[in-house]
Amino acid sequence: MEANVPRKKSRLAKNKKKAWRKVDITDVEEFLEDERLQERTGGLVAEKLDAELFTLERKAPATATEEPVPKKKRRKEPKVLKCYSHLMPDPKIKLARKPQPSRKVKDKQAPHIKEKVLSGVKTQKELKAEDQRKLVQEKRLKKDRTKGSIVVASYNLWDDEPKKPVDPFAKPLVKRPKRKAPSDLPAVQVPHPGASYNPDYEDYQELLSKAHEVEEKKLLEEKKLQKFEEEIKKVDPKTLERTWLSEMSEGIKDKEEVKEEEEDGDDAINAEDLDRISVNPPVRRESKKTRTQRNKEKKKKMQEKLKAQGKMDKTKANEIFRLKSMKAELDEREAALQRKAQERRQKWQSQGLQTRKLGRLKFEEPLLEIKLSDELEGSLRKLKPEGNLFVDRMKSFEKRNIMEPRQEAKKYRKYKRKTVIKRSHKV
Amino acid sequence: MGRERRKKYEKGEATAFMSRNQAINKLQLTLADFRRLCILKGIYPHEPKHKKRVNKGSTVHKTYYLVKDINFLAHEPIINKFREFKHFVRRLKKAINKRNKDAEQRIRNNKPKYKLDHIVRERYPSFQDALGDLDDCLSMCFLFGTMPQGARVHMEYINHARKLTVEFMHYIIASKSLRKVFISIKGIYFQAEVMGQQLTWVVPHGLGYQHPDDVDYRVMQTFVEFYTTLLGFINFKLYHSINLHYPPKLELDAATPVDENEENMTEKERYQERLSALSQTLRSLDEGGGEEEVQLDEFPAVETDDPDRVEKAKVEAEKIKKLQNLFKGLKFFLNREVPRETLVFIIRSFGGEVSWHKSVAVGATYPESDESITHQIVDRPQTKNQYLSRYYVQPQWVFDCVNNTSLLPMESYFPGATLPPHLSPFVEEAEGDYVPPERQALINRQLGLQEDSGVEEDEEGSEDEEEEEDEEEEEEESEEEEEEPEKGRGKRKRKHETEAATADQAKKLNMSVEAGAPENFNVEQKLQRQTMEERRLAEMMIPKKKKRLYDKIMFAKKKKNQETRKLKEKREAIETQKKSESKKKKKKQ
Repeated sequence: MEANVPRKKSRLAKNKKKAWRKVDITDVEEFLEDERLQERTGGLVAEKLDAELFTLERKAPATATEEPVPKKKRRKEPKVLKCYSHLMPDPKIKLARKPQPSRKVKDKQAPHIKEKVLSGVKTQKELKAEDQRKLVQEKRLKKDRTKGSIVVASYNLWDDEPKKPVDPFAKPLVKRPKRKAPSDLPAVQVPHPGASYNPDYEDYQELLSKAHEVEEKKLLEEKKLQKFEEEIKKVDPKTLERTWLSEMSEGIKDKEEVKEEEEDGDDAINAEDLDRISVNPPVRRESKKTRTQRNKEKKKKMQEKLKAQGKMDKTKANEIFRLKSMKAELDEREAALQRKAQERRQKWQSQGLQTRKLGRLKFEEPLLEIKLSDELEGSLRKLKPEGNLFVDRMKSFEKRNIMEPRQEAKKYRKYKRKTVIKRSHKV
Repeated sequence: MGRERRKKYEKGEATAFMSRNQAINKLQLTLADFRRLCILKGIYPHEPKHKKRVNKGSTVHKTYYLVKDINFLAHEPIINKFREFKHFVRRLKKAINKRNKDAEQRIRNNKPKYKLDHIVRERYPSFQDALGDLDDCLSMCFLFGTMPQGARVHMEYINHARKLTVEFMHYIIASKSLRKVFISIKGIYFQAEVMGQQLTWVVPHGLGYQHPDDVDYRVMQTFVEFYTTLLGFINFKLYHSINLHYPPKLELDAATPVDENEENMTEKERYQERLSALSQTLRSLDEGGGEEEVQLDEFPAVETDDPDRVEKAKVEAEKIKKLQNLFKGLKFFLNREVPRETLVFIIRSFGGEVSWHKSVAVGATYPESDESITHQIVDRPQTKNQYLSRYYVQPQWVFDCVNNTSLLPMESYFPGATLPPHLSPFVEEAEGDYVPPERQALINRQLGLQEDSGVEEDEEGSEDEEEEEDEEEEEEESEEEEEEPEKGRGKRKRKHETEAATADQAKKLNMSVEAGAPENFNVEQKLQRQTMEERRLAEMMIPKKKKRLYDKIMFAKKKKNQETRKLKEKREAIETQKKSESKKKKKKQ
C-alpha cells in the first residue's frame, strides 16, 4: 500500500442541510450585508452615476493651512470638587413639581418701608457700606503687583522730615540697644603687596617667607606626633601587656581585699586605721600642769611679747634712715603696677581686633593665597585667579565676629540600610 | 529678718545672656528664620567673659546672644511676614496637590512681601553711618553681580546687585572719586573717597572664577538682600547730591537699536546693557547749569592762626584735582583680550574716553580705525602696529599711572616688554623702613614731577606774590589778607587789580615796578623743613628724666636704619653682580 494517494476532494452535497453547515459562507454573507447597508443609507453605490460619487477639482487648493493639531485636551477639572458632589442635586431625579409663586403670600413689607426703599434715600448703614467698598476697591487697585519682590529706591531715606504728630495711643517705639561694633578690623583688608599679580621681588619674598613659616609650624607639629608614635611602637608588646593590666587596675579594689575589709568590722581599730585617725595619747594625772608652772609659762610669754614689741619700736625708730631704700621699693612697686596697667590697657584695646569664639567650632585662619614662582606669569591676560572671594567674605564675617563658623549638618540615617533580595530573584 | 538665700545664676552674667535655642523658643521662629532676622537686623552673638557662669556650671560650647538684643528683636514687624510666608507656602502646596488651578494662581498673586526700609533707617540713623558700612556692602554686591544663572541664589538678587553696582560705578565716574587701584591674585581692589569717607572694595576677576560648594549661599543671599536695599538708598542720595536723575538716565537716549547685538533685546535689556557699558554720561537734573567749575570755599577767619594747615590743605586739593584730570584729553581703545569693564571704569573716572570693538559688547562709541585715538591697550606680545599716531601699551600702564597720580613713560609698558612690578598703593612706608629702589624711583618721580609742576605753577604765582609783597611793603596799614579769596578768582583779574594798585602807588612814591626773577619756591619742601626744625626744638625741650627713654628709642631707630642700609648694600651688590655676569655673557657671545 503506497501512502500519499491523492485524496478525492470531498464534493459539496447541495441537497443536504448538514453538508451546507460545514461550508464557510462568511464572505458571501458579508457582501450581502454590505449591499443591504448601502441600500439603507443611500442607494446601491454600483447603481449610482459617476457624477454623484466624484467631483473634479479645477482650482488649485489654497495654501494648505495645516489642520491645527488638536490640543491635548486635559481632563476637564471639575469646578466643583468631587467630595462635594453629593451636595449637588442629582440630575437624574426630576422635580416632582415646579415651585409656583404662591398667591396667598403677599408683600410682607409694610407700605412705609416700601416707600422708603423706592424713594432712593439710603440708610446710614448703606452709606457706610458704600464708603468702605470704595476704599477696598482703591486699595486693590493700588496693590503692588510687581512680580519680583525688589523695589527701586524712590525716596530719600535720610531726609530729615518734620516729625509726625505723636499718636498718644500708639505703641511706644522700642529703641535699638547701643552696641559697640563687633570688631575694629576693617571690612575689606588690603592684601600684602606681594600678592600683586606682578609683584616686586622683596615683597614677594616676604610673602613667601610668611607662607613658609606657616608650613614650618605644621611640619613641627607633625614631627612631634611622629616622634610620639615611634616611642609607642618601641615598646615590646609583652611588657606592654603586663604593665597595662596593673596600670588599668589602679584604684580598683580586688575582691579579696573587699572581703577582708568586711570581715574586720568596726570594733577593732587596726594598725592601719590608727595611722589615719589622729589620736592623742591618753591624759594622765602626772602630766597635769600645776599652777606655778602655768604662771611661769605666762610670764615667759609676756616677756617674749615685750621683747618683740621693743624690737619693733626700735626698727620703727630707725626707719628714718631707711627712707631711701623704702622710696626705692615704693617706686619699684609703682612701676610694676603701671606696667600691669599698661598691659591691661593694651589687652583691652586689642580686644577690638580679636576674633571671639562664638560657637562650637574654632575660627581657622584662611590660607594665604600665593602664587608659586613658576606660576607667576606677570601678564594680566595669563593670570589665573587664586583663592575665592566667596570664601574670603565668609571668613571675613567670621573674623569680625559677625557670624559664627559653621559646618554643614551631616545627614545621617535613623535606621541602617538593609538589602533584601526579592523572592523572585532568588535562584 | 534675714534676706532669702541667694541662689547661684540668678544675677549678673547668667541673666544677661541667652543661648541660641532659648532665643528661638522665645521668638517662636525656625532656625533659618532666626538667622535671617539676625542678619537683617544686625544682631550678632556675643562671647561672655566667663562661660561657666553663663551656662550654669557646664562648659558646653554654645552661641550666646544678649537678652536685651533678643527682647528688641521681638518687636520687629517682619517676624509676622515670616510667619505669613510660612502659611503662604503651606496653602500653595495644598492647592497644587489638589490640582486647583484657580486657587494656585490666586494664592501666587498674593504672595506676602516685606520691605527693609525701616531696618536700614534704624541701623544707620545718619547717612555717614551708612557710608561707614559701605565697604562690605559693595564687595558683596559686586561679588553677587558676577554670579551666573543657575547658581543656588534667586536670579532677582543677582540682577538687582548687578544693576546697583553699575549705578554706583556711574556715580564714581561722574564724581571722579576713585583714588587707588590694586590688582592682586585674588581680585581687584579699589579705593575711592566719597563725602570724606574712604571706601575700599574688592571686585572679582572676570574670568576663571569658580563658585565653591562649601559656602552657605542662603546666608549670603540674606546679606545681599539687606545690602541691595542699603545700596539702593545710598545711590539715591549720592545721585541727588551731584544733581543726577535716579534711576539713572543716559544723555543720548536713542531708542532705536544700533548694533546687531541690540536688535534682539527688549527695551529694558537694551537700556541696562548700555548703562552697564559705562561709556556714556548720565543726564543731570538741572539741565544746562552743571558745567561750572566749583570754586573752593575759603574760610579765612577760622584758620589764619595756622597758615601751615591751610597751605597743606591747598596742596592736597591741588593734588586731587590733578589726579581727577589724569587722562583728560586722551582717547583709549581696548583690545579684546583686556579686562574691559575694569579698564573702562578706571579710565572714565579719570576723565578719559574709551571704546572697544563693537562685537565685544554693546555701547562702543568709536571704532578702532578712529584717527584721534591716542592709546591702544593691548596684552598680546606681538601686535600688528598699524597706526603710528597712537601708543600701544599694556594694561598695567593705566593702573600704575593711577597709583602714581601722573602719566608714566610708556617705554617699559610696550607690548612684549617685561613689565615693572605692580606695587601696592596701600603701603605707606614709615620713616626708617627699607624702601626698594623701584619704589624709591617712583616716589622720586612723583615728588620730582610735582616739583616741576610746582615750578610751573609758581612762575605765575610768584609774579603775583612779588607784586603782593610790594603791595604789603608799601601799604603797611593792616589790610586784610585778601590773598586767599583772590587766588580763587581768575588770575588775570587779580593781575590787573594789583597792577593798577602798584601803578598808582608807584606814581606816589616814584618807585618802578620791574619784573623779578621767579623764586623757586616749593611749598612741600618748605613744609618739610619746618617740621624738621620743630622736631629738633622739641627734642631740646625734653626733660632730663625722659631724655634717657627718648635716647633709647632713638637708638632702636638707628639700629633699624642700619639694617635697611645693609639691605640696600646687599641689593646693590646683587645688581652689580648681575650686570657683570650679563657683560661676561655678552663678551663670550
